[in-house]
Amino acid sequence: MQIKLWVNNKVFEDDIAVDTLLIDYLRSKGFYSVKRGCETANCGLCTVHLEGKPVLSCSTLVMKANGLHVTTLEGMQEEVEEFGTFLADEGAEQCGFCSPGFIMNVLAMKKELVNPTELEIKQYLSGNLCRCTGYMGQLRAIKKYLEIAKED
Amino acid sequence: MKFVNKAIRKKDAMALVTGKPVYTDDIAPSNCLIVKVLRSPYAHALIEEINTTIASKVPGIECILTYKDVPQSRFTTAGQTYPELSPYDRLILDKKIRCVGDPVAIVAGTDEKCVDKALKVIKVKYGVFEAVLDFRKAKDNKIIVHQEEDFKALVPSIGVDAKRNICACE
Repeated sequence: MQIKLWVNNKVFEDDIAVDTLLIDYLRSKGFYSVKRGCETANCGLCTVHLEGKPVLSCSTLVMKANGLHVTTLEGMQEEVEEFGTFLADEGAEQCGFCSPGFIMNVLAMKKELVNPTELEIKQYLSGNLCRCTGYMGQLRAIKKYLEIAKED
Repeated sequence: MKFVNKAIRKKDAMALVTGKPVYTDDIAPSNCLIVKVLRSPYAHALIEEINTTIASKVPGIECILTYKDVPQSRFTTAGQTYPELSPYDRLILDKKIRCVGDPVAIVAGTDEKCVDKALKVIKVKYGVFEAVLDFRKAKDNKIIVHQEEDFKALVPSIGVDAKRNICACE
């Protein structure tokens, strides 16, 4: 089927197979930040934003994004680098494979929640798994990042 | 004392957190074959027959391997230095199945769809045996997991005894 969508504000028009998943479409266009982890909608690694809201691209058909705006990590490099430095300085990116999907959700959370408590942060990010760490580094990074962001 | 007690950012940190293509699947050429493995649904079995004729005719399939095609020298999947302590008890593909998920065939094709299709039409006839499912009952069980004659342990002093289902003991 014919589709038209925007990825990081750039328009794409394609003829796709109806069962094409958003993750495969995005990676085929070179958006390699979108990682395939579990393939079963459990790990959060493939998170992208659809009209600003986080979705799991491994369980979203491209046709659902028809006419809509998709944002990947590549499209938010400034914010990503800012939060990424906090993550890196807490040693929370060991193998780094879960970082892109995690960051997409952290940035969505920042927009959605005002002064979240630790519990709210944990609840918001419960769909992001990391097999290297124990999540403490990520939590420290988020707290420091939100603290700084508040001061601006 | 320049580095002691100071946090040091990893050299690859920023490439990782900004999602740069640094993983194998990010840099694999687009014309790579897709490889998948057919796995056993049984915990203890013997492959009596395996027929890949129809599967290899699926358009796009380049190669299907079974236990008939692999080297017959056993190895260990543990990765310590030589002499490896773990027993040399594995083949890439084995006629004997020792757990659910043991590999039965390896299929390579031009895309995921044709490989999935081929996996479905590989015909396997299993001889299914009773399995040891509780490791606490494994020692001296009448079911022996590794019966193969070429089972080998480079360091026998770790207490390996395949006939008693013991991999290592004090």
